[in-house]
Amino acid sequence: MASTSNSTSSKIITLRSSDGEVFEVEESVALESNLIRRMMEDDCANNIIPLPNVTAPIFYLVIEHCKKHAEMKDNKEKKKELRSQGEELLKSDPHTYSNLMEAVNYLDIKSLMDLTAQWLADFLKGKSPRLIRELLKIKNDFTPEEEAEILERNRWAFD
Amino acid sequence: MDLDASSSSSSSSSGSCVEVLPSALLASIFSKLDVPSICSMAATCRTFNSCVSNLLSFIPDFSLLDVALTVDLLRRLLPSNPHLRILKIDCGRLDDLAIALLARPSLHELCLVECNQFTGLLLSQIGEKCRDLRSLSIDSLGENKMRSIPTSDLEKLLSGCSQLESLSLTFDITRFDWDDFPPVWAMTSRKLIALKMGYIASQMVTELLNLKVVLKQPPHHVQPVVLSRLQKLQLLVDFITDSLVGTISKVLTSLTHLDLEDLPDTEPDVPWDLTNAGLQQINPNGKLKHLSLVRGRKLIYTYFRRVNDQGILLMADTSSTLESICLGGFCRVTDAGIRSILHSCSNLQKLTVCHGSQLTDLVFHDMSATPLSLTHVGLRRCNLLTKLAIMRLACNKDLRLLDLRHCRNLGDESLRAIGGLPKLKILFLDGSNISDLGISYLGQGVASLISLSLKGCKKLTDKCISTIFNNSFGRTLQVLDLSYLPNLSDHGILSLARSGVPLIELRMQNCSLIGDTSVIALASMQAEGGWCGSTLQLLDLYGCGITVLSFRWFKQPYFPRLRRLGLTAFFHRDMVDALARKRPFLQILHHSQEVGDGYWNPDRFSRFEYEVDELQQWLYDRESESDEELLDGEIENDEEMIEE
Repeated sequence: MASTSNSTSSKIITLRSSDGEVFEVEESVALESNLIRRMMEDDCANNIIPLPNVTAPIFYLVIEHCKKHAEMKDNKEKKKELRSQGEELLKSDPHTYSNLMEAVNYLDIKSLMDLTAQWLADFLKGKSPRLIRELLKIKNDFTPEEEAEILERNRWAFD
Repeated sequence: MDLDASSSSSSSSSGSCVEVLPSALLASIFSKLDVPSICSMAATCRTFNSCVSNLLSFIPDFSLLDVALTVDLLRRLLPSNPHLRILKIDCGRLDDLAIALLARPSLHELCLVECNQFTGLLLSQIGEKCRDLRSLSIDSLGENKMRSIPTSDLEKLLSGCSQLESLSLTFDITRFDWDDFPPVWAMTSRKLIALKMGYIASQMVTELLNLKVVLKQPPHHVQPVVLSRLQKLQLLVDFITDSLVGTISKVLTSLTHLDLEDLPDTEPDVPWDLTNAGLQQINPNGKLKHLSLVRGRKLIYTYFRRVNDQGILLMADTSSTLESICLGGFCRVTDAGIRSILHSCSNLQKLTVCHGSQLTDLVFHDMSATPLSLTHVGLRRCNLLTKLAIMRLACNKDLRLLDLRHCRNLGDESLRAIGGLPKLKILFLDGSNISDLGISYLGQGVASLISLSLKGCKKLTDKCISTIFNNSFGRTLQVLDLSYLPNLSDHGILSLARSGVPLIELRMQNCSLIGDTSVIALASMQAEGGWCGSTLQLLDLYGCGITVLSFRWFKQPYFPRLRRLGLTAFFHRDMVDALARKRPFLQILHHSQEVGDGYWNPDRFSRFEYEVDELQQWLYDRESESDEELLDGEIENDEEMIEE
């Protein structure tokens, strides 16, 4: 994973996901995560850092997006691309999105947090409750009476 | 955040997912949404509902200007919230009973539009409660009651809000008691730098500006002038006069923005008019960046008769600092006058000239020789301009807004020149002589339009619609005006609907060939994001050939976002009433009525003006996220709602 970067003398950090897979990540990428930063400051840096709350496939996604995010900093086109990717992910696989979001939250990666939160916000914007339930596979857990009351109260919003 | 929770939900792939995210996280995501979307979330599931309830008690910014809610609905959305800083509300259905809900001590910014049913109590209560307010805007106060407003209420407002930096009172100021009016301003916040008022008599303004304050504590010296720190002043007055302009220039030495519009009800006489001598007094301190002088023709047909090129030349001499200039109703000014502005204002970015009936192509003759790079140009009703002027103007490759309404001589060749403007976002071509071929030229260089107005371009046919939406420049459109196109038919609208472009406003006034098919096509339009129905918030079908059949397509679940619908008045009255009952928050507009009432009533128009301003602002906000400068409503309202 580390070989793609062009910085020369970067330190490599080793991380282990909850399902036991080991990742080697450039320090600059790893330090995007405040969780890892804190762990390294606490001097666990020479060993493999365990990430008990993140599975390998999700961690792949996180690293991929961290890199993309670093690239896009001054590239408007890329920014757009990344935004539309978020929409696709939410449409095709809201479940993976939630896991990604959780992982980002757990790893405390500020830049990705903003990005993934914006994805969901953009996705939700202007959609009716029914459509959101359908797209994100959310169960309607209101009682019929509750629902009628809430709909009546909010119908102006999605009339 | 528990691993088990996430893995167990992953095993049941059909199960829920997004709602298992921590509620603080969800709330922070929801806080990025607009208020209607937040309310949609609340009705989705229990988790979201409780998230929203939480959110509403700490959200810092609550803006709801596109729909007028009742006090009961609003009360639920505005629980006690010590973090609320910004509140913007359409008060169309509210009255004094809602004041307690609106006047909150935590606020820094308060914007209330359509306050027709409120009394002066609103002002005094805001003054008492909102001590930290920095910015206040109140529109149409008490205009349903048409009673005078006690000046003491204004006094309480001005003395209470001691931190106020920006104040906008857009209602009939003459309803305050004239004698008391200037003195109450002695209490005004020392921090006030922006003031917008109107309608107000220009004599009241001069008295107000000349007001001096005697300090109660020693030393009893006379303080200069209450409002002397003002940097921005925007007024709608009865007459723009030399003495008004002179007083403003003399007293307000820090002014950077001056925006004056008048509405004469009689032909102005000599001391009550603007002359060359008055213009000469503008910008004595060389700080002015934005200047707008407009003579409104809503009450009588008039213009600045006493200003000619000489006046503009003298003004241009002292106005080299200007970045934006708007001149409306200077009918005697010719190419020489406007060219003197182009040559002396080396920082000019925005130029608007309305009713420049003497302007010819020579006005931009040596445009390329100036160092200017204009971004906004408006030339409404400059009838003599031809393609030559536009070709020369098109050397400003940074143009983002171009307003060529009612420049009758412009044809397809002009569009060929406009087609070379890559950054163009907003284009008005109302009443010009263009054809379908011209529209196709836009595709050559324009990257992404946001707003396009083709009102009254009578040669256009259905073909232009497919040209627009098959080109990349049209796929970003949000606002489209196709009114008064006699050849536009359902075929055109079908291709529009097929394109799936998520339009927000679509106007098709008086297109008689448009029928029910168009309504059905728009209602079932599939825009991005799997919307069933369309994203339209405004649909104007006044004077179209629609029948009873269309009505069931205006009901739920079609047009879920629709806020305003234009329909011919007296058209199936019972159906319209039934629709209004079914969708109480859909505003149904009958233009013939509105225009009939409004033509002589300036209040109506000030509201319309506000809408146009808002639209411009809104368009501009979307236009470029990085661009922070404000659009100062350089396109003023279109006073002719009816085509001539």
